[in-house]
This record gives sequence, C-alpha cells and structure tokens, in this order.
Amino acid sequence: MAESVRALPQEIQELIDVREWDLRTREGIKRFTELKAKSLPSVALDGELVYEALIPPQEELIAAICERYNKKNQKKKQEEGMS
Amino acid sequence: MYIYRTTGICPPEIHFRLTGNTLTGVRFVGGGCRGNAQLISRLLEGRDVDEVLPLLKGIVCRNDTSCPDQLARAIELACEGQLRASEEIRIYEDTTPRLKVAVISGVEGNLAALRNCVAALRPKVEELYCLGNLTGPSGDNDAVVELARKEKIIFAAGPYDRTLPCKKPENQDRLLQAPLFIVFSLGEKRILAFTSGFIQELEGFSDFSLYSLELLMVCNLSDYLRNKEVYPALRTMTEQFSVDAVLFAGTGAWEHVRLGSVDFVNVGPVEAGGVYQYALLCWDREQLEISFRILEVR
Repeated sequence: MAESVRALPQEIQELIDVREWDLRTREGIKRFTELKAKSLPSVALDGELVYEALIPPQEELIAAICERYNKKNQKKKQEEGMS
Repeated sequence: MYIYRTTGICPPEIHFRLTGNTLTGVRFVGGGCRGNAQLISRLLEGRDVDEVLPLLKGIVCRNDTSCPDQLARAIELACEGQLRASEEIRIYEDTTPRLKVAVISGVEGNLAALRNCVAALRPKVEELYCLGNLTGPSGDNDAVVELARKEKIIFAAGPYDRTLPCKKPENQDRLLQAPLFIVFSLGEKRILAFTSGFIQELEGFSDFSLYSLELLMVCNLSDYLRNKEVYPALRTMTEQFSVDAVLFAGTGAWEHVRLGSVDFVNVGPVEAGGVYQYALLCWDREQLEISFRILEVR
C-alpha cells in the first residue's frame, strides 16, 4: 500500500504528508484501533478511514486526495473572505 | 540485554549483549536491510568492543549516521553506563515433542486445585503446563510454588507472580526466574503460551523481539479476542506468526478461535463454580485438537 502512495505523481506528493503505520508495533496498533480499521491494508485521508482491504487504483486515490484538498482550500478561502 | 532506540536509521531498535568487553547477539530490528544487518551481526559475534568500535564509528548512510554508527553509539553508551541493561524476557523452549498435554491457568494460590490437577492429569497427559497466575492475593502462595517445584510443572509467570511476595525467599526467586513465554511442540505444531499482556510493561520488552508480534496481536489488537471486528486484520497478521497456536489467559474466559492457520486459545481459570477446568491439546491423525474439559475429582 505504501508503495502505491509513494508512486503517486510529484504534484500529488507535494499536496500530502504520508505516514505509514506498522501493525507489528504498539503505536501502529493504537492508530489502527483509533481509526476503527478492521482489515489490512488500510488507507486514511485526513484521519478518516477511506480504503480497507484493497489498494485503490491510482486515479481513484488521486481523485480522493484532490477532493479533500479542494474542500479544505474552499473552506479556507471562505474563512478568509469572512474575516 | 541492551535495547537502544536509534535515530536517523531504518531499524528503530538495536539489541545486543555485552559480557565484559565481549559483544554478542547484535540484532537490528523493525526495519532496514535484513541481509546486511544479519551479516553485521555474524561478523561482530563474540568480538571485543575495543576492536570493533573503530570499524563501526563514523560510517554514514543517511541523516549523518548509519546502522554501524548507531551501534557504535549504543555500545559506547552501554560501556559508559548511560544505557542500562534490560532484564531478558525469559522464554522456556520445551524441545520434547508431545502428543497430548494439558494446560491450566489462574491457580492463584489454590493449593487444592493444583494438587487435584496434578493428581488427575499427570497420568493422562505427557505434560502439564501452567499459565499464570500461579500465586494470588489470598492464596497459599508458598505451598503452590513448592508443589510446582516438586512436580516440575512448567509455568509461565503472570503479573501476580511478579509482584506478590512469597514468605520464603527461594520461592520468590523461583517466581522471578519463571519464563514469561513457553514454547512447546505438539506433533508438527509449535505452540506458544503466555499469561497476558503485562509482559509488554517490562523493561526488556521490545515490539520486535521473538513472540512480541503474537502477544501484541492477541492482547492489543484483538483485546484478547474480544474485538471481533479486527479479526480480518488479525487473520492477515497470522501469516507472520512463528507459531501455529497461541495460548493465553488473564481474562477469565474460555475460548478457542481459529484464524488463518493459527489457533488462538484463551485458557480460563482452573477453578470456577466449584469445578476444575483445563484445556486439553492433542495431536491426533495429523490434526491439532483442542478442547476444554472439566476435571472429575473423586
């Protein structure tokens, strides 16, 4: 799974920070249960579990990242406009 | 054993032993180039630290350091007394292959329970294993420890066994020297047994030590099999297990679940409601058979 994230195009890599958790460690298990994940591999975007037990096609993953990125940007712009 | 938490390199920990000036058991764990790490370990086995330090120091791989460089720092800290040696997580490996064994747990100082189990089970099975706690807050702790010693019962320590005092120092020593993991063979299967997740609170525990994966999957991931939602992940992780069955105790429940090719067995307390119970494990017709039995005491 981490490989598929690392294989994302450079312009997408620049939008994201990637953190990989190892389920063999106490820290990894803690994060896995916090996310309420059930299967491996799992992908969370902005702390929300999005993919479980599957590696999404690259286009799908890019679309999900961009959607979240755009939403966050819109919200930020709205907040800036209000202030 | 020394456990050094690294910085700037792939493996998060380096484990090693120092006997005087002699270096043994070097392991780079949790990541990195396994082949190279094993080669380093073999080359360094049994060598004098004064001889190896100049070879290790100052090698740069990434972040201005490297695996050998981090090992050099760890050895120096250990020699200077700034890195403390941790108590080894004791493992008892029973090398005699068995066909039929019984397992009890939660004796908690109940001398009658242990005595009856020994008397009734010893003639029926090849070995009787006992998971913690052998001793308990209101039990006859010295007497059960002495009986266990007399009967040569192989037992894995539980949290009470590590913390509750016996009156006789020799019994206390026996409890402190008891293994935390027991490994035995039943036919073609390798079985791991331990009491509960308290082991991970001990100083010498590492996420990357032998049998830590099995313990963490049982205790932390599945919450002693109670969190059934994570069973798909647990099943996937069993592919990395080094044993075919995992026995544990400490929850008061009796349960047997098979996930992937691994049997998980929760062994309940030896006495409940006035009856004695045990887990029976048999290797029969090339199969591992696990059942929970009630002991008839006449």
